[in-house]
Amino acid sequence: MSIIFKLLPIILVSIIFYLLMNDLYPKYQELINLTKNLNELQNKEKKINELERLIRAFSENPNIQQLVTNREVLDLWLPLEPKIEYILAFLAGIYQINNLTFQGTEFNIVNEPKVYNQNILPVRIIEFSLQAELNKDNLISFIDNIEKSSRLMVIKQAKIFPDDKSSFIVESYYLSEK
Amino acid sequence: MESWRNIIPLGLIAPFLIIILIEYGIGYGLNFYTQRLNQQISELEAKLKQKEEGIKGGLEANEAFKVFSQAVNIVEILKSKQSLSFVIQRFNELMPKFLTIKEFDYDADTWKIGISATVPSWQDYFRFHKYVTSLEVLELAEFTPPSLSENNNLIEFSMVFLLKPAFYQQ
Repeated sequence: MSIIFKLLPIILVSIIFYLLMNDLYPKYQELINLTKNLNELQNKEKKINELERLIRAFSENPNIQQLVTNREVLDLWLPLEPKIEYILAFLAGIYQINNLTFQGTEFNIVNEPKVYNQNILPVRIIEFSLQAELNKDNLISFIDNIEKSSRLMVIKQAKIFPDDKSSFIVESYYLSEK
Repeated sequence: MESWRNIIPLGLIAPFLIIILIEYGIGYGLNFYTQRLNQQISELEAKLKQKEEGIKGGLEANEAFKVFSQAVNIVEILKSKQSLSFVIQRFNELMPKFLTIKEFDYDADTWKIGISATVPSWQDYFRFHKYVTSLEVLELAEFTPPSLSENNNLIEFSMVFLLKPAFYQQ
C-alpha cells in the first residue's frame, strides 16, 4: 500500500499527460480546423455578397439598361452563339456582289477564348479562310465588304496575287459564356 | 490518518490534482466551443446555399453583364482592328509607279507586309531600295537579293516590310 502512495505523484503526472495528449490536444486540433472552416465560409459569404452587389449594380445601371434595349444590334456584331450559317450567307452574298463564285469554307472555332478585358466575358474566335480570283477592280471592294460587315470580321492574313487566286484568313467572333 | 499524511505529502499532491481539474475544465470549455462552432458552420452553410441558389450561374449568367461584355468586346475588337483595305491603299500610295507587285502578303498580328515584285532595270531597283530604306513609315525587315529574269528582262526581288505606327497615320 505504501508503495502505491509513494508512486501516487508519478501516477498523477501520468494522468495529467494522458489527458493533455489524448483529450485536450485532439480537441484543440478540431477547434483549429473548425475555425479555419468557419473563416473560409465567412470569406465565401463576403464574395457572394460582393457578387450580389455587382449584379444589382449591373441590373440597375441606366447605361447598361440602354444597351440591353439595343441588344439586337450588339447581337448582330457579336452574337452569343457562333451562328456560322449567318457568316456563310454573308460570304455567299459578298462573292455574288463581286461576281465571284463562293466554293465554301471550313470554320475553325479556336479553343482558347480571347480575353480583351479581364473583368468581362471573353470572346471565342471563329477562323476561316477564303479564296478568290481578284483583280484590281474588285479587290478593294471584296476586302471592304468583309471588313465593313455588320458581324465583326477581321482579316488576319492575306496572300494577294494579281494573276491568280488570292487567299485570306479571316476571324469572326462570338461571346464566350465561360 | 496520521501515518497517511506522513506517506502522502498533500503539499506535493494538491498541485497535480489542481492541474487535472483545470484540464477537465479546459476540456469542457473546448467541447462547448466546438459545439457552438459546429452550429455556426451549419447555419452559415445553409445560408450560403440559399444565397448561391439566388445567384445561380453567377455574374456570367446575368443578362446585363452579358450585354456589357458584348459592348466592351466590340469596342476592343474595333480598336485593335487594322483595316487591310487601308493598308493596301496606303502601301500603293507610297510605292513608285515603276514597281510591279507579283505577290502581296499581309500579316495583321506581326504588322508585316511581304512583296514579290519586279522593276524594269537595275537603276530602278537601286532607286527603289534607297527610297524604301529612307521611308519613316516602313522598315525594311528582310529582302532577297535581286536577280535579272531572262524571261522578261525584269529585275525580280522580294522584300518584307514592318509597318510602323506612323503608317496608320495619314
